[in-house]
Amino acid sequence: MALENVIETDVLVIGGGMAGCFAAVKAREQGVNVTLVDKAYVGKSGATHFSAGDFTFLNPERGHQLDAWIEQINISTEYLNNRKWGEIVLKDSYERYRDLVSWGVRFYEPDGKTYIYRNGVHEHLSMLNREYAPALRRRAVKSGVRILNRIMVAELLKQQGKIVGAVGFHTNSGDLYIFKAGATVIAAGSSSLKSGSTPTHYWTSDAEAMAYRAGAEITGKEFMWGSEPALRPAIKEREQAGKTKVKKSIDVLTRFPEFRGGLSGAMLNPVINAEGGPVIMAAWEAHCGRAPLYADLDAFSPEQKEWNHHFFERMETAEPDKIGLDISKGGKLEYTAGRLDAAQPIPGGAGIWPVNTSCATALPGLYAAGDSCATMLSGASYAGVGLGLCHASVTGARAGLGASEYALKSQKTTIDKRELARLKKIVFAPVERKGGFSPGWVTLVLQSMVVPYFILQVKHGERLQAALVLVEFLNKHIVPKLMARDTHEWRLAQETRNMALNTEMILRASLFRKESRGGHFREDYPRRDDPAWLAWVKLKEEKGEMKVSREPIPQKWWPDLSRPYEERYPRMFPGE
Amino acid sequence: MSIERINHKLCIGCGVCVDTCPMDVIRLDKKRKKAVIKYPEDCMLCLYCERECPVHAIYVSPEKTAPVMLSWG
Repeated sequence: MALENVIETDVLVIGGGMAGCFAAVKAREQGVNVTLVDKAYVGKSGATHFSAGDFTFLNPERGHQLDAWIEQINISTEYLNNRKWGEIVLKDSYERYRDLVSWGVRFYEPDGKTYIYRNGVHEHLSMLNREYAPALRRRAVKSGVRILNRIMVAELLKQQGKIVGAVGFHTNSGDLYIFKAGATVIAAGSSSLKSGSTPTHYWTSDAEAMAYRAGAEITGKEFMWGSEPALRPAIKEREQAGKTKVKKSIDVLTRFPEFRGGLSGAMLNPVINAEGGPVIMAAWEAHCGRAPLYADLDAFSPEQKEWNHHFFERMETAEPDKIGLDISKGGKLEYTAGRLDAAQPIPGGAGIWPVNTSCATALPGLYAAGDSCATMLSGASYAGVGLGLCHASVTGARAGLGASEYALKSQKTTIDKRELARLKKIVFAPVERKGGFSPGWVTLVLQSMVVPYFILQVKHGERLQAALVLVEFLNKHIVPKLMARDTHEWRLAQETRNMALNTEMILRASLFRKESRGGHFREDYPRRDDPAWLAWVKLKEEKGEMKVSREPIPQKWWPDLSRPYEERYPRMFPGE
Repeated sequence: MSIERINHKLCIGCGVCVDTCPMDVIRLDKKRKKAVIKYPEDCMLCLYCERECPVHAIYVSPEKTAPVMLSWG
């Protein structure tokens, strides 16, 4: 017989990664009691632990200029970035770096000197891969944060329009947990479809889905991380260099495309297609029948070789060892889409819409942080390696402070019994069913509907609409019949439900944006459309329907429209 | 996917792999005090269990056991 635990806390933090730990620690410093829950094990799980550890921050001691850093983001993320948030994140970033140092986080130091990575004018350091997540955990514990592992939070508790807590279950014992919180920080990461070769199966859209169902606004769903086309000069260069000879798969270093998780962090450009020609956009080459694609290790620049050398050194990755790969030997490496296969969104460029600089959402009592929070630090594509974790630390700290302030002022509410009963019914549904669909099968079906490149990477209105019809059907008729045969599958059912909702969001947002930009490419609208689409697409539930709307960016952030299109946009879409 | 073996001759039942696995693939058999692979189909090939095991009792194969959905192939 499963137990029912009621836990009262001032601040509830959902998700124990970079954002969640910062939120928990900063909230605790305000003297409130803090409960941190995670569906896995804090310090060992989630995107934070799996990231390469890159941390970008604006360092006044190195003469970094805020304006130049922001301008680089404006151009590289195609003007849909929120500059106000860009300034906030970069200005706060140095303090967050100092926090990490004081919490015992160590940085990559080959030959005793801290290695500085460069990306245009941006610079970043690298935290030692296996150490920083446990360091965050230790700090949280030391602060007196109560950590509860293996608890899948399934729904937010809403009363009189405010978020007053959450409902979840233990993934092993099946015990129910009812959290009564003065304020809640949701830092449960990003979204993906558990497909492809990058090990990001923890990203199941839990944060967005729960917040959406509670009435929050979601944005950034149409942009796929890794889908950006190549730079015009790079394409010209490759064209001029002529075709590279690739013998049909014989000189390809490895035939394990599915085992490429760690390598996705390495610099695997330049990428050539099966005919040895340049790649404009990975999925486009596949579309034209020119896959598989290869990284031409012999054509790496000295900078790229250095980046890869340091990446493999600090990652202590076992993967090249495991498949007998020596990337320094040169040759051709078969390239797989990695992030694209999993339909991942842009870090800091998708998720729950924040309404103030404390990362409060439109729902009083709910704060969002990390990849769950769409500050739009990054616009239509990722602003660069290292900004994801930086964004998580800054938004985490702000959300933690905002939540503790709110909790101190908020009045104690008694949970409405009928609302709780309603939520419990929804949460328990998969375990109470005698028949239905397994989460594994539903996930497979969902993947087959949208993972093929011609739905979310080389988009077209007709195909998006076709996929939407099927995904809508899935959400209306299949998802409610998800069945869990044990407590492990209960979590999977919840994740599948969230992933299916996330997919509908991606499709609707993609249909709505009638242009191409950054990580969103449509064959039927293959160019950026300024100024009509200098706007964000937002999704919100209204009377049971998913409503899509446009919010224009401030006009002062528009690019100079008198400049030629090619100058405004250094990346070239197919067909331009 | 691909966790294949936990060598019970080596396994000391410390439970580190159980805690480490983000996908809840491994559970501790309380009677035998050994780690067992309970849900191999959810393994995402992160390799952390193999790396964290203090006695190197775990082997993760780089080969998939179920087809992975890819964007093209």
